Formats: sequence, C-alpha cells, structure tokens
Amino acid sequence: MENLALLSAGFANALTATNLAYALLGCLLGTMVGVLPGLGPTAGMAILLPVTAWLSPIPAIIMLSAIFYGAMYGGSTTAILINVPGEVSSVITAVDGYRMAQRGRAGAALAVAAISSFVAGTIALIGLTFFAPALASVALSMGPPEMLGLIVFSMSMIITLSGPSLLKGVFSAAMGILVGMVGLDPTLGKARFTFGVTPLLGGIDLIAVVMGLFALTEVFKSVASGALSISSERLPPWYRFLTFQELRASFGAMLRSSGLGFLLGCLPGMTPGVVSFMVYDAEKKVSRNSRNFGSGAIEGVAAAEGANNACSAANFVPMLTLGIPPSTSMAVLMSGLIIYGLQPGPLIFEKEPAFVWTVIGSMYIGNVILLVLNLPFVGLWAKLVRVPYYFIASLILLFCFIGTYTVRNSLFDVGTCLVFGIIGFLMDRLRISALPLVLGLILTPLFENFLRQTIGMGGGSLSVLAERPIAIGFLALGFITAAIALYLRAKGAGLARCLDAEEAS
Amino acid sequence: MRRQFLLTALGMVLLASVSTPAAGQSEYPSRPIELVVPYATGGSTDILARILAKYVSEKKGIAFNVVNRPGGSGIIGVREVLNARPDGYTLLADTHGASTMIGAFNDPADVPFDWRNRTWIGMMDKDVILYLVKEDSPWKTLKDVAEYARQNPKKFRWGTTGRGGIAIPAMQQFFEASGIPADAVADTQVLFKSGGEGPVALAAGNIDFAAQQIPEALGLIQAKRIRALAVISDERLPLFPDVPTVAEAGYPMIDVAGWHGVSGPPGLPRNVVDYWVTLLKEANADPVFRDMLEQVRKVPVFLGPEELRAFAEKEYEKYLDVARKLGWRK
Repeated sequence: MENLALLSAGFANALTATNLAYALLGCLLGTMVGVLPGLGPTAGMAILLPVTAWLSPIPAIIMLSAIFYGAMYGGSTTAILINVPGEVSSVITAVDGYRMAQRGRAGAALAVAAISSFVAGTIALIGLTFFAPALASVALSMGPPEMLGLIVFSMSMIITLSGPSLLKGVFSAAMGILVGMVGLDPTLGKARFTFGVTPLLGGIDLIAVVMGLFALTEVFKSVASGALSISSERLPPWYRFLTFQELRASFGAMLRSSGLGFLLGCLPGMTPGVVSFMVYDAEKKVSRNSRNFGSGAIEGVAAAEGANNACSAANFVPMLTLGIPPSTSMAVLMSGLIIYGLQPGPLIFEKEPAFVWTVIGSMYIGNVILLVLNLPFVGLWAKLVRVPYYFIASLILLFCFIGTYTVRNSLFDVGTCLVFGIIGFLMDRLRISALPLVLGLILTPLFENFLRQTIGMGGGSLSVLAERPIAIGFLALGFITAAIALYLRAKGAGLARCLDAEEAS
Repeated sequence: MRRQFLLTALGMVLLASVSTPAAGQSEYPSRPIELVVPYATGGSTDILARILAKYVSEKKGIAFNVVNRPGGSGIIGVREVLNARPDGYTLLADTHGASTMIGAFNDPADVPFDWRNRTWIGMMDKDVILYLVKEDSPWKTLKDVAEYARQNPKKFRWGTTGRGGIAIPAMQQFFEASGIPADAVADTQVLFKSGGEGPVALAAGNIDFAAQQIPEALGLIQAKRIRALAVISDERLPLFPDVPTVAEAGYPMIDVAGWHGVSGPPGLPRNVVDYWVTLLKEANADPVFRDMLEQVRKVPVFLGPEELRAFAEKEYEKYLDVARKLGWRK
C-alpha cells in the first residue's frame, strides 16, 4: 500500500496549478494534432517536442506524455470518421469504426472509442501503479526466443484477417513482408531492394504506407464512385448517439482488450500498432458478435481502442524500468528523461519517486481530461460525415501529406504515400484486404530482429529454442490456431462465397 | 579520377572561401539555422543536438532548429547536409556513426557520397564505453572473459548494436587483443536494434558479454543486475570509481570512443566555421554547458576543425581494419 501513499503524493503534485495546466495544454495540443487527418502521435510529438524544451523536467514530461496520449486519442477520431488513421495503432479502429460512420452511427463509434480509451487508460495505469517493477521481470523473461514465438503466433492472424479469399490475404501479407524488407539490412548493413535509390536505404516508412493504403485509397474510391458525403444517413439526436445496449455490448470487449493490451504492452518491442491487431483478433475469436467484426461491430471499436490505449500506458514499463522504448514516441519521452538526468532502470521508482509518481498521477488526470474534453465534441465531429466530400477530400490530402512529411522530414515519403494510395485503390478494386499487408509490414522487422537474435544465441542455429518452453508454447499455439482457422475457413467456405456474392452485388 | 575529384573539391573550397566574405561577414547568422540529425528523435545524437540547440539559442538568441532526417544508418540525413548550400544555415549534428563508420563499414556502392567531403567544425563530447557482464557472472576481469571465449567460442554469446554502433569496434579490439579470431566467435554474436536492449539481454542471461555506452547501461548497473568489468578511458570515471580502465585490466591497446560534434557541407565559408569554432570553444569552457553534457553522461571535449579531421582520419583507419577483419570490406 506504500504505492498508494506515493501515488497520492504524486496526485498532489500533479494537481498543482502549473502541472495541471501543462497536462491540460498537452492534452489539448495532442488532441488537436491528433484529429488533423494524417497526423498521429509520432508526427505530433515531433512537431511539439521543441515546445517542451524550455520547461523544467516534471512539467516537460507531463506535457510530452499528455501530447502523446492526446494525439493517440485524437487519431481514433479521424480513423472512425473519415477512415484516416493517423498512426498504425488506429488502423484497426478504422476497420469497424468507419463502417459504423458510414451507417450513420459515427456518434456511437466515437463515444465508445472515448469511453474505451478512458477505461483502458485507467486500468493500465492501475496496473502501472501496482505492478510496474514486477512486470519489468516478466519483460526480462521474455527474451528473443520467446518474442520470436509470439511473433510467429501473431502471423497466424493473416488467415483471419484475409477476408473471403485466403489466397488474396496471403498475397497481401507477402507484399507487406516484401515492403518491410526494403532498406539497409539490420545486421550487415547491406542495401536490400533499393535499386540504387538512396532514400530507399532508410526503408519504406510505415506511416506513409498506412496513409496511402487507407486515407488516399478512401479519397480515390469516393472520387471514383462520385460519393457526395461519407454518410447520407440522418444523424440521431445527441441522447441517442450511444444506446445503452451498445454500451453494454462493448463493455466486455473494453475490459478484455484493456487487460490483454496492457500485458502485451509490457513486453519488449510491442507497439500499440502490433498489439491492437493481436487484441482485435483475440476479441474476434471470443466475441458473441464475432461475425460482424469487420463490418461495423461496436465491440471491434471498443477492443481496438482499449488495446492501443492500454498498450501505450503499458509501454511506460519497459521504457521506465528497462530503458527499452518500444516506439519512437516512447524513445522521445525517454530522451526527455535522460536530458534531465533521470536514469531509466529498475530503480527509477525508488530513486525518483517524486518524478515517477507525479507523471503517473498526471496521466490519471489526463485520462479524465481527455474524456471530458472529447465527449461533448462527439456530436460536432459526427456531423463531419455529412460535410460535402470534395471539401473533406482536399483536407485529407493536405494533412496526409503534411503528416507523412513530418515523420522523417522527407518528401520521398510523401511520394511513397501517393504510390501506396494507388496500390490501395487497385487492391480495393481486386477485393484484396490491405490489413494483412499492414500486419506483414509491422511484423517483418520484429520477426527478423528476434529470429537473428535467437540464431545468434544458439551459435548459428535455432537450437536454443529447445531450452525455451515459453517459446515452444507460442510456436505450438501459432500452428494450432492456424490449423483451426484453416479448418473453419474450409468449413465456412460455402457461406463465405455467399457473403462475398452478396457484398459484390 | 579520385585525385581529380579531390582537386576539384579543393578548388571549390578555395573559390568558396574567396568569394563569400563579401556576402556580409558580420551578418551571420541572420536567419534560423537548421541542425540536421541523421537519426530519429530520441537517440544519443538527437539528445546532444537538442542540448546544443538549447544552449546556443539561450546564449546567442539565435533561432537554431533541430531537424531529424533518419534512415539508412544516417546515410540519408548526411547526404542531405553534404548536398546543401554551404551558407552555414544547414549544419550536421555529426558523430562517429555519421562520418567515419559510414565510410569504413558500408560498401562504397551503397553510400552516395565521400565521407571525407565535409567541412569539419568541431567535436563537443566523447562517449565512454563499458564492458559488461551479468551481475552474478563468474567472470571478474576481462582476462576471465577472454579465457572462456577462447575455450568455448561456440558457447560465448556476445551482444552489440547493429552496424554503425560503436560497440562493434570495441568488441573487435577486445577479441583481437585476446588473440581470438573474429570468425571463431562470429556465430554467437547477438545484434540489437537499440542501445538499451543489450544490457537488458545481459540481465536476463540471454547474452554473456556486451560493450555499451554509459546511459544505456547505467540503470541496470545501479540496480545490480549487470556489472562493468572495465571502462575504455585513460582514467577511471568518477561515476564508477571501482571499475578499472582497460589499461589497468591488461588491455592498453583498446581505444574506442564515440563522439558528437558539428560539421557542414563542403566549402563552408571561413567566417561561418570561425563563428562555430568560437562558440563550441566557449561552450566547452562554460560550466553550464559542461553540466548539461555530464547530466547525460558524456565527457566534454573540444577539438577544432583540423584536429577533428585528423582524429576522424585515424578513427577511419581503425574502423576500416575492423570491417576487413569482419569480412564486411575487402
């Protein structure tokens, strides 16, 4: 219970006028950047980092963290409303969220995203408050072989994400894997698939690909179909935005995704992007409403948002206690700590209690601020789906290009985004889902990294796996899920064909 | 061909230095300066660049922006600076990884520039390296490690960050000094993407030995999960008074350090170089700046343009030798 005392001291610090003001400012700025289509946490923090350089340590970290989760949150708004995820982590939110928006349920999707983010953020913070040091040892026991097992297991998701045709899904995933290998090879530094084009040495930027495949593709599709607005459905009055049934239906998904998202987020290298895919897939398997996942299930939105928010909070565990930030955003936060002489490591909770607990306290408060800040806007945002699309489309293009450019200050990435917009449009015409591509792209670097490390540990072979029961367990689980998914797919093939025909007509 | 190129480059440098003074010597800087970091936000070079930016902006009141241009182990950002207009408004947050290592470790066919072809301005700090083992490892000295590695090369697991990381030459020098051929232990190398992963893998027992910079390892050393066997430095560090230097540990031949500094495109005018040399020299003497560097565990060092160039040249030879032994270069 010592933690509670420390936490209440942290709350007291976080609630001083200055600290509260910086948390509020960070949430505001973060949300503002996040809701601009095409700008997510990575771009947001890159833009706003210099703003915090002038502050003293605690306000600076409070504000940076707030910008981070504010942008994370804002990103889901554009994912739902206009199918523009600002970051990989909200790709999955868009899957069901955008379908809901098209059906005139934008308000429900936005509200459930807000509530799920809040629930997940709070649950994850409670986990962080009580178990952070213990979780650091869990993260330690998950070495390269275990992580390799987990990644192989995750690859079985390609089967469930494939849509009606497995062949098309595998094709899409293979394309993602190929794209993920472009650039300097991480071991020998040899150029792969760069064809002498220097900017390709840096690899193909994930955010550029995601913007292209989703945002740009969406614009092209709407232009091709001559759509006048995203949804022509009449919007319900504000009190009908989120019905009690919808809230009740998604409650289980919120809790499960928060728990699983938090646990996965404590592991090395697990970003909200990867974790939201994993958790969504798991939720789809246990949900009573699993048939509607992918075509506008509110549980899907709840699971995606729960997962990515719980994971972002959990990412503080490896960053603070082990000094291994899973994402660029976390690396930025960690460099903030280091600049101020705060040393990440297992002792950070003992050595810098005032700092750590004030930041955690401010994150609880930030979560509330975000909910209060955003729920009233749901109605306003929801109206966006009825704005003439030619107007929205030009804004999407503008902000996507700005967002893509900002990540690496690279005009080449803007071109990449455009190319993937065209690829995404063609894939859509051929009815190939882009999700396996994104999954392949995010898993490939992780897979390669952990595979090489495992081989190094085994002195040039995979022999070390034999001594690692957890790794073997994950691998076995991966093959079993793949087998079951294939079996179910074969059994449901007839049904799928019907659905496909129905959708096509 | 090469000579011709160098002569032309030299000619251009001369021409530039003759023709620019007229363009307002006293006015530099008159608009915001961009300091390009060829790596992502959050890395060591990024941190140092931001510290410098903060110091310079506060001290001189000039707008000094850090711009990250990551990718290709620094190649993309460096290329951009080297191709920029040499007017002093685009500078490079330079480091071992962005200069000598690109030159020595990469296949020249993959690098679209000559690493030497830059205007060196100055070095501001050095980055000290530690050799580390797990806290409960039986090894007490570097000699113990060498002994084990010699006898069990196929079981000896050692970690470094990927190419461009300063740990690679540190490891290679250790093996060479211990009489262990590079290919004997090549299979048990475990590569990490970022600096923090090595110490974590040590603490978890996934690797046996690693070389790391201080900020990456300090947290786990303080928590008594990993232990430093030696430090690559001429003197013991105040931070670790009990950790012997490599010379004390019987390895006087090991000499590797990371560094950070400022460079510019080839042909930077004399007045710009002078402006920055004076500034870096002042900063080096300023306790405020020294504190900022020590806060992030770097050792403040000042080297001017000519000294830095000579230093880089020596480092390059060293790294090229490492790359050849590893079979990365012919």
